[in-house]
Amino acid sequence: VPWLAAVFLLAAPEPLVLWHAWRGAEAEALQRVVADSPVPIRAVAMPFEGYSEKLSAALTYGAGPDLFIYPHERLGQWVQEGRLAELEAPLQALDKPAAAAFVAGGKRYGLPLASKGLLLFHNRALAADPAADLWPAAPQAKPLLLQDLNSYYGAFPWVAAFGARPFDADGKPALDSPGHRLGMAKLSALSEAGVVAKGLDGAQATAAFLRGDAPFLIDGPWRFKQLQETFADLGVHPLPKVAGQRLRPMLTVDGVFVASGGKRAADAARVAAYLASDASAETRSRVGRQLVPNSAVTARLSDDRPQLAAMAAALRHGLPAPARPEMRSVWGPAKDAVDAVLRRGEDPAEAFAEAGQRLASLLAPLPPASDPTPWLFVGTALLLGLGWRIATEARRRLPGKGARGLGLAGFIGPGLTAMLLLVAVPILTGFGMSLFAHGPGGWHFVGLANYTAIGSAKGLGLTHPMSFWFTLVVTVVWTVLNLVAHVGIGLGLALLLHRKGLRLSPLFRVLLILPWAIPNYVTALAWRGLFDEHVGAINQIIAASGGEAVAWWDHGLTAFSANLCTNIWLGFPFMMVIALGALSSIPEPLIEAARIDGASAWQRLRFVILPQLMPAMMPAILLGTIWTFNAFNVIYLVSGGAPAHQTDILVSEAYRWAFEAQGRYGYASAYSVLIFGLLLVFSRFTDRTRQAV
Amino acid sequence: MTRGNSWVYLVLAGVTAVTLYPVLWVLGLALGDGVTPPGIAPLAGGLSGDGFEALFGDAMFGRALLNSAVISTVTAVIGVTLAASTGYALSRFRFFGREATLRGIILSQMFPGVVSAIPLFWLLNATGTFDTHAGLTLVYATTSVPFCAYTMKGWFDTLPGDLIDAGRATGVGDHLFVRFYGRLV
Repeated sequence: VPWLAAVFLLAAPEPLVLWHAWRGAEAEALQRVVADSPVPIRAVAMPFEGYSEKLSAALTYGAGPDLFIYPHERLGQWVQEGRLAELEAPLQALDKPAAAAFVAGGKRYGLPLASKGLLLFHNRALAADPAADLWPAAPQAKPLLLQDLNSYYGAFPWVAAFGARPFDADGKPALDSPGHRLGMAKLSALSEAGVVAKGLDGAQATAAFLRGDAPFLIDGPWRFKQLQETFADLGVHPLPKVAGQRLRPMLTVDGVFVASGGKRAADAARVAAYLASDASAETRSRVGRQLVPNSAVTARLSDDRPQLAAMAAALRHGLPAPARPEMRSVWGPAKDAVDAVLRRGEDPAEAFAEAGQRLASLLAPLPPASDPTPWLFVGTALLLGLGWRIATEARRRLPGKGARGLGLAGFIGPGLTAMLLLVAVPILTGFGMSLFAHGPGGWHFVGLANYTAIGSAKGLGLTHPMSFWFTLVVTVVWTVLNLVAHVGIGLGLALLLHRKGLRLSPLFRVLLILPWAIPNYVTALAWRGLFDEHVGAINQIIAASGGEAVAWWDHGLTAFSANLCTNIWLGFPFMMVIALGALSSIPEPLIEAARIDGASAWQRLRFVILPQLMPAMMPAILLGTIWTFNAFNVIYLVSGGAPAHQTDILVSEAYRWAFEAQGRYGYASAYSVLIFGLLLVFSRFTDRTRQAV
Repeated sequence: MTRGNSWVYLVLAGVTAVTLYPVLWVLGLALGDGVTPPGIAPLAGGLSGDGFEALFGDAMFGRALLNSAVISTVTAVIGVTLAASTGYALSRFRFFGREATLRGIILSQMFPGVVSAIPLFWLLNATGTFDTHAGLTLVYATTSVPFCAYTMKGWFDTLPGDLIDAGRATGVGDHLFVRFYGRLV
C-alpha cells in the first residue's frame, strides 16, 4: 500500500504557488481556505519588507508565483507592464468601491479580498462618546487622540477631508493644493493644542492607547484583535470630523492577482475566483477578522459581530488609493512635507509647494535618447589600447612557464575567476549603466546626460538637500569628523592599553572591541532606539539631568550628530586594534633611548612613536575613509536621511534614486561612478603623501 | 608604575561603560515585557522571557535561523578557501598581473555595493539562481573575497617564507601550504 500512495503522490499535479504577506490571524484564515481549494495551492508567506520589490522583480523575470495577494495600488504599473492576466467578473455581489479598484481600461485584473483603511477606536472607560467635531481646538493637558502621523498615509484623512487628492482630475500630481494646505494647517493646530498627540509611531500610539493615556486611537482593522484583548468593549467608529468635514481614510484593498504567462492560467483563475468567493470570505472574516467586500457575508455576520460591521461601515467613507504608477513617487516628498509641518512647525503652504517641486523632479521625463555610435568607437579604441598594452607588457615580463605557473594558476585561479565574474563584471556593468536611462518604459542610451543632470542639480538648485553638491558637502564633513574621532579615540585607547603594568589590559581590549564584533545593522537599529524621542535612553538621561527632550530626527544638525555618534561608536575599535598592533612592533629600545636622551612623554609620542606608527596606520585610515564615505547602513538605518534628505550621504542618495524613485538605475549608477571617482582621487592623493613621508 | 595607572583604569572604565551601554540597553529591551517603556538603567525593570518565547514560537524564526546557519557556513567555507589561496598566491608568487590584481582589489572596495547589486541581480536571474540559497551564497562568498584575500595576503607576508622555500627545494611543493599554513591559520 505505501508504494501505491507514493505513485499517487507523484502523479498528482504540482500545487500552484500563491504568494502573500499576511500575518497572524489573517494568515491562519488563509491556510484554512487554501486547505479546501479545488486545485492544490501552496501558500508562501513573504516577508512584508521588500515584498513589493521582490514581487515586481520576480514578475519581470517570469520567476514569480502563479497567483499573489497584494493591495490594489500597484495595479496601474503592472497592467502597463503586462504582468497580469485578465480575470472574469465575479459571480457573487461585491462592494462597489472594492470591486472597482481592480478594473483598469474596462478590464478586470484582480478580485478583492479585504479592505483596509484607518478608523477610530474608542476606549469607553475614558470617554462616553466620540467627539462630534474636534474643532475648535481647546488646549488639552492630555491628548484626546493618538495616531501615527509619520507618513502621508497617516496624514491623508486630514487633508482629504478638505478635498486634497494626490492627483487631480487630469491625473497630474497635486500635492501643492488648497486642500493639503488647509488640512495640514488644521491638523497642526490640533497637534499644537495637544488634542492630537505628537511624534508617535504606530507601536507607541498603540502602547499609549493600551495604557489608557487617551480615549481615542486612529489605526486600522489589523490592530483590532490586539486592542480587543485588552478592551472587550472596544468602540469602533468612522473617523471624526474637523470643522464640519469628515476625515476620509485612504482605502487599500488586498486582492488576488493571476500572473500573466503562467502555464496553468485556467487553474489559477479558478483558484482566484475561489479565494474571493463568499465561502472563503466567511472563513477569512470569522477567523482572520478581515473586512471582506462580499456584501452577503457582511450582512450574515453583522448580528454576532457588531464591531466587524462597524469597521466595514467606517471604511465606507474611504477613498481608494490611486492605482497610478506615479503614486510610488508621491509617498517620500509628501511624508517630508507632513514632517516639516508637524515636527518643525513649518508653514503648510511652503512645505507642500516644496513637496510638489520635488515630486516634479522625481517624475521628470527621462533625458532624450542619444546616438551611441561615437561611444562605441571610443570604447573599442580603449579596449584595443588596453589589450595591446597588456600584450606587450606580458611579452616583456612573462618568464618561461612550467610547473610553477601551473601551481600558481591552481592557487589564484578560482579566487580570481570569482572576483572577475561577480565583482569586476558588476562594477563594469555599473559604469555602462551610467550612460543609460531607465524608467518605467525600459532602457535607452543617453550618453553623459545623467552626469550633466547630477552636476546641474536639475530643477532643484545647488543648495537643495537632494542636490549632488549639498550631499557631497555633507558626505565630506561626515567622513572627516568620523575619521578624526576614530583615529583620535582609537590611538588614545591603544596608547593607554599599551602601558606597561596594566594587568587588566586584555579584559579591556576584549570589551572595547565589542562594537566591531556585532553586525553593524543590529547596532545601527539599537542606536536608532537609543535616540528615540519618547522612550530612548539618551532623552531620558537628558531629562534626568534637567534638560529638555530633543526630537533628534526633526532637525538636520541633531540627526547628523546622532548618525555621527553611532558611527564613531562603531568605528573606533578598528583603529584601536590596528594601532595596538603597530605599537607592539615598535622596538622598545628606541623609546628607551629617547627617554634616556631626556625626551618628555609628549616628545616621545610626537617624534618617536607617531612616525613609527604612521606607515601601519595609513592603509587603515585609507580603508576607514572608504568605508565611512560609503557607510550606507548607518545613514539608512539611523536617521534614514531625515529630515527630508538633509543627512543623506552620496551612497544613500544613490540608493534612493535606484530603489525608491521609479527605478532610475542609470542615474543611480552615475552617482556611484562619481563616488568611485572621488575615492580614487583621494586614494591617489594619500598615496602621494605616503610616499612623501 | 601601579599608582600611576589608576587614572588610566578610570579612563578605560569610563570608555568601556559608554561602549557597553548600548549593548546592555538592547539586552534590557529584549528581556522587557514590551509594554513598559525602557528606563535609563538597562535591565532594571522586571525581567520577562515573553519576547524570546514569542520569537521561538514563530515558525518563520526557525526557518530564518536555518537559512542563516546554512548560508553562513557554506559562505565561510567557500569564501575562506578562495580568499586564502588567492592571498597566498599574491603573497608568495611574483607574477605578471600581481600589482594589477592588488590595485583592482583596493579599487573594488571603492565602488558602492548598493549599485553593483543591480547587475548582480541580472546575473542571478540569467543563471536561474535568483531567490535560491545557492545564489545568495555565491554572491556573499565572492563579494567578500577581495577584502579577505587582501587581509590574508598581509597575514601570509608576516609568516616565514623560508619554510615554503625549503619545501619547494625538497620537492614537497605548494601542497605544504594546505597542510602547514592551514594549521597555523
